[in-house]
Amino acid sequence: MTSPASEHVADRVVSVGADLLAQAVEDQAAPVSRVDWRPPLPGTEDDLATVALDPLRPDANAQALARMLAVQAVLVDVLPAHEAIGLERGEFLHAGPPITWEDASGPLRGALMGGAVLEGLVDTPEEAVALLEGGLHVRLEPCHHRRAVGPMAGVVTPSMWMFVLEDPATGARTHCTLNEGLGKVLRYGAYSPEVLTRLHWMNDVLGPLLQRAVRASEPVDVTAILGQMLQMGDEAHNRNRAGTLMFLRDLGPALVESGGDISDVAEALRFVGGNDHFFLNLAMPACKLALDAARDVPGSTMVVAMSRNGTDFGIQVSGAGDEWFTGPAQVADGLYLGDFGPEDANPDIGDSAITETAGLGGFAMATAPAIVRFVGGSVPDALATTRRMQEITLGENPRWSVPVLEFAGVPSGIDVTKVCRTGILPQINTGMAGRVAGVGQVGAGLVNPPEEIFPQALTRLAELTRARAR
Amino acid sequence: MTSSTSDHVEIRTGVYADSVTLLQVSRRIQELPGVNAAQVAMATPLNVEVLERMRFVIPADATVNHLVVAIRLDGDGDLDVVRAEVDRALTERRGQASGPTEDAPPRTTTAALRREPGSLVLVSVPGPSAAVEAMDALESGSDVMVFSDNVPVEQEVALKRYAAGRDLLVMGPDCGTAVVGGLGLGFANVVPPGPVGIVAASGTGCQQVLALLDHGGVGVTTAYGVGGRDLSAEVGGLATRTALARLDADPGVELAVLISKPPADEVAGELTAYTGSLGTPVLLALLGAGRPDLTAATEDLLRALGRDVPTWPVRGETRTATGTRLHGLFVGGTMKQEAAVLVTAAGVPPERAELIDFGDDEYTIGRAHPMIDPSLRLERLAEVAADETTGVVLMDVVLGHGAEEDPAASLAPAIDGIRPPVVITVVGTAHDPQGLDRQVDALVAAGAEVHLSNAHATRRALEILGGSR
Amino acid sequence: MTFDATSRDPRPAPVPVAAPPRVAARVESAADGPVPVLYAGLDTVHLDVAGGAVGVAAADAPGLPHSLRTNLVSLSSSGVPTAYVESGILHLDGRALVVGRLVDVRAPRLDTARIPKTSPAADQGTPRSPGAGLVALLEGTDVVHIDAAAVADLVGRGDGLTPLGDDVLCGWLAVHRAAGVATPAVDDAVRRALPRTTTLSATLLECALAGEVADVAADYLRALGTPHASAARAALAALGHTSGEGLAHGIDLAVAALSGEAAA
Repeated sequence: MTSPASEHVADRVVSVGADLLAQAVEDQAAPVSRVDWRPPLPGTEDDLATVALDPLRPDANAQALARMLAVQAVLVDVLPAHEAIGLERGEFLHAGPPITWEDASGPLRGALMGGAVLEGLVDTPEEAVALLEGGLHVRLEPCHHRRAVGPMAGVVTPSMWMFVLEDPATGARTHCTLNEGLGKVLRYGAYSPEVLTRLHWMNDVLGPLLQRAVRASEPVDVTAILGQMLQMGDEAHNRNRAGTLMFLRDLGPALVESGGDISDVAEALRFVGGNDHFFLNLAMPACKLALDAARDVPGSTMVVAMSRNGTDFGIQVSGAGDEWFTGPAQVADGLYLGDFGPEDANPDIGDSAITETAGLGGFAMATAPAIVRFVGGSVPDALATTRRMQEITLGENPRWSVPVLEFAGVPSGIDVTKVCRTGILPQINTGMAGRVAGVGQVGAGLVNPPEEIFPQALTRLAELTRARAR
Repeated sequence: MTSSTSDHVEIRTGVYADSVTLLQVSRRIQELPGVNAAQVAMATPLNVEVLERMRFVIPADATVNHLVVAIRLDGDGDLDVVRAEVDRALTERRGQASGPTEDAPPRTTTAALRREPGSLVLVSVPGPSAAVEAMDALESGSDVMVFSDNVPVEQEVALKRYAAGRDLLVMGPDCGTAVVGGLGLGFANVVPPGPVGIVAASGTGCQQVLALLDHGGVGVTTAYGVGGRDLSAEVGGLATRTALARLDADPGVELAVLISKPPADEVAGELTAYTGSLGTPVLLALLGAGRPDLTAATEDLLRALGRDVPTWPVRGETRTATGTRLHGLFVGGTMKQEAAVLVTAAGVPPERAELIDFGDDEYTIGRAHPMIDPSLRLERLAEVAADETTGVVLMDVVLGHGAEEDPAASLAPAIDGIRPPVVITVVGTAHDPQGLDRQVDALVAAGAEVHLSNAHATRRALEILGGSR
Repeated sequence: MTFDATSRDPRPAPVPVAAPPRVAARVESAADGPVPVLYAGLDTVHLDVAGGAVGVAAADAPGLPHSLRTNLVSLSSSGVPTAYVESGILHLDGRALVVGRLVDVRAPRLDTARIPKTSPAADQGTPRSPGAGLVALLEGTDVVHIDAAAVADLVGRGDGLTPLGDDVLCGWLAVHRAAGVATPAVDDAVRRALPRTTTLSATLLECALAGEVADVAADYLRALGTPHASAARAALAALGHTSGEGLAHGIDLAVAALSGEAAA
C-alpha cells in the first residue's frame, strides 16, 4: 500500500555530495544535515556497491548483530585446558591468526618457550627453542580455532587452567586462561623462573580453588558485570579494576568456604585483588561468546574477530566463514614504562582486541576517562573516539551503556563496508610487549588494524555476493 | 561571628546547576571581601540541613528545584556587589563545556540519519559511490533523490527493487529536479502549492512544465523525478509506479502528469494499464516525433483543470538572419531534445542544424554542469557568432535554486552586438532567486528574443531561419 | 543587531524564508518604509504590513498561516526589533527576509463522507474539558452551533493577540473550507466584524476564510479518523496560551455539525 505524497514531505534533508545542492535547500529555509563524505578506500567502489546492494546484507547484518547482543555469558566452571578444550601434550594455542615459529615475534616465542618448560617438554627455555624450531612434536594453533581467546601472546598449554563461559540459552562455550598480573609475565613473552613459579602456583593452587568456588556459588554473570563496569570507569580492555573487584565480591564468600587451606585462600584473594587486569580474562571470552554467535550469517559484513599474533593482524567476518584477512601488525602509539621506547616495542599482539570487536576497549573509551592519559590521550579524545566508532558500527549495545554519552550503548558490530567507506579504522587500546623474548611489558597505547585487511575482506564478500547472484 | 553581620537568603526558581559547580561558586563568593559566610546550593534536604547548621533561615517551601543563595555579610559588605558576583559565577559556568566534545559531522548517510531520522536524502557523490549512499537512505526508511549520474543501470534496478516493496521512492539516478512538499531539490524552481502532481523522467522537462504552469497560475506541490532510465525495459518503471501511486493517494492532487521520453515498448502497455487503474487522471507528456511538445502538453493540462490557457510570454525583438545554419546551444537535455524533434519535423536537413546539450556527459567530465558553469557554452557561442554561415542561435537559460546566481550577467554581454539573431528560452518562475524579470530584461536589452516556452522559441528560430532562405 | 539607516553597509547576510503564497504577495506589493511591530518574542515576531499581520517565525516556532518561516534558532534581538520593507522585501533588524520557497498553508482536503462521528476529544471516554477561558467564553455566549448570529458574539471575545472567540471561528471555518462546504452568511458576518478584533487576529480570520490554517491545525485535520487523531489534537491544543484550545474546539464543533449533516 502506497501512502500519499503528502505524508512524504521533506521537512529536513540529509545532503551527501555537492555542497551547492545543500546550500540550495538552505536557501529555501529548510534544515540540512551535511554528510562529510570522502572517497572510499582506493579501489573499493565497485565492491562496495556490490555488497551494499546484496539483497541478503541488510537482514544478515541485523541478524548477526541481534545474535551477538542476545548472548549472555555466565562463568560456569574453571578447568585445565586439556579438560576444557581437549588440549593435548605438545599442543600450544596462541593469539591471533595462524603463524609458524619462524614467523613468530619475540614475545610469542618467549611465551611458547615458557609454556614448553611449564609443560615439562623441556627443562629450560633455551632447550625449548630447538623443540619449537624442529616442530616435530609440537603444534601451534590459534586460540580462536579452539573456542578460546588469550591476551597478548595468548599461549595456552594443556595444564593451564581456564575459565569456562557459557550462554545458558544455547549451551555455547568459550574459554580463557587465568590472568597472571602485570609486568614480567608469560603473556608478554617473559619466561624467567619467577614467571614459571607463578604459573605453577596458578595451576596448583589458584585454579583448583577457583573451580571449587565457581562450582559452589551462583553462576557469575559476566555480561552483567561488564555492564556495571562501564558505569564505573572500566572499558574492559586496559581498565578492569571495577570488574575485578566485583568478581571478587561475587566469588569471595565461596572462595572462603571452598575448604582450601586458609593461607592459600588469602593468597588467592590477595593475588586477584592485586591484579587490576584479572577480569580481562573474563571479559575476553564473554566477548568471544557473543561474537561467535554472530558467525556464519551469509551476506553479513560484520567483523566477528580482530586478533593479532605479534606479526600479523587478522580479522574474520561473519559472511566470509573462518577465513582470516591479514596484514602486518602495527606498533602502538602510547606511553612507555621506565626507559623503554618505541624501538623496544613489539608490533601489536593478542586476542584482546576481541573486546573492541564487541564494542568495548577503545570503542568504549568515553566511559573510561581515568585511563585516557595512560594510553596517551585526553578526555575529549576519548569522547570523540567512541563517537567516531559509531560511524563504522551497525548499532549500539543497550546492555553496555556509556553514561557520559547520555547512556548511549557502546558502538557494536564493526561493518567492513563502513570501514572501507570512511577510512575510519577500529580504535584499539592495548598493552605493548617488548620485541625481545623475555622482556615483558614495555608500555601501553592506541593502535589500529592495518587498513588493507578491510578491502581484502570486502573483496571476498563481493565475490560471494556475485556468486550468489549467478 | 560578630554582632554586626546581616543575613540574606534568596530562593531562585528555574535555575539548576550541579553540586560541583555550586561548590565552586560558593567558594568564590566566600572569598569576596565583606562576606562572612556564603552558600549557594540546590535546596535538597541535605543542603538545607547544612545551611541551617550555618544558622541561615531557609523558607519552609524551598524544594529541591530551588536554588538557595545564602549570604552572610560583615558590617562593611556590599550586598549588590556580592549578588552580582553570584550571577556572574553562575552564568560563567554554563556553556563552558562542549567544544571538543561536539559531534563531528557524520561521515555516512546512515550516520546522518541516525541523528536526523526521517530526513529525505539527496545524493550527489560521484556515480560509482552513489548507490552505496542511496542504499543507506533506503535502509533507514528514507526516500532518496540521486542527483549523481554514471550509476550503472543494474545498481539502479537493485535500489528500486529494494524500495518498491517498502513504500519508498528512489528519484534518479541522474535526477536533476524534484519538488517534495513544496521543497525544491536539485535544480528546482520556486513554485506555489497546487493541484498538479508531476512525475518526470527529465529534470529540465519538469522545469519547463513548472515554469509554464506557474505562468498559467497553477501550482505544484509535488514533482517527483524518477531518472531518465526508469521507463526503460531494464528498470521497468519501478519508480514511476510508486510516484504515481503516491500522487493518486494524495487528495490534494487533482491531476497528474508524466513527463518522459516514450517508454520502452515492454513498459508502455503496462504503464497505460496502470495509469488507467488510478483514480486520479494521468496525462502523458511523452516527448517524441509526432507527439505534442511540452508546451502543448501543458496547455492540455490547463484545459483539463478547467483553466484558461494564457498567451506564453515573448519579449524582445531580434535581428534577421543572414546565414543558413541553426545553432542550438542548450544546458537542458530535454530542451535540446524537444528542439531537435521540432527541427527535424520542420524538414531542416541535419547539416543545417547543430544542436548541442552542454549538460551531456561528454561535456561535464571534470567540470560542473553548464547550469552552474557556463564557460563551455560561452566559448561555443563565440565561435558560432563569428561563423558567417550561422543563421540563428537558439539557447535556453534555466533558473531556480541550484543554478547559476545570475546567468544573464555573463550571457547578455556575450550576445550583445553579435551578428546572428538570438532566441532564448528562459525557464523560470516569478519567485526564482535569480529574478525572472531581471534575467529577461537583461537578455532583451542585449538584443535577444526571449520566450518562456522552448517549443515556441524553437519554432520562432525556425521561422527566422526560413526567412533567410 | 538593530537597523540604522546610516550604517546599513555592509549589509548582513539575507535570511532565507519560506512563505505562504498570499503572504509573499502581500510583502511584495507593500510600499517601501518602516513596518510597525505588533508583537516581538524570542521565536516569533508579528508585524503590521500594509494593514495586515505578517509573522516571522524561528525554526521551532509554530507555523502560522500568515508567517514567514526562517531556519533561525531564534529571532533574538535586544528589545523591540526594527522592520521595514524595501523593494518588496521585508527586512527584520536589517536582515533581508528573502523568499526561497512557497509553503502550503491550505487546510488539507476533508472528505465529508469520511469525517468521524465523534471527535477524539469525545472518543477518550470522558469528554476533554475545555480550558478555563474557553468555558467562561462559551458560558457567556451559549454557542454550541456556530452561525452568522453567533459570529458577532465570538469575534474579538477574549484576551490577548488572538482572542479566544476568533480562534474558535478560525477552526470552524477551516473545517468548512477543507470539506468544501460554503458558508457565505458566516463569512460575511466575519468580514464585517473584522475591525472589532486585533490586526493579528483579523489576519488569521482572513486566512481561515481562505482555508488557511496553522500547521498543527492542518495536522489535526489530516489525522481525523486515524489513530493519530488524539495525539494531533493534543499537539494543536498546546499552541499558544489558549489559541490551540480554541482552534481545536472550533474544529470539533464543525466536525460534529458536518458529520451530523453527512449522516442525515
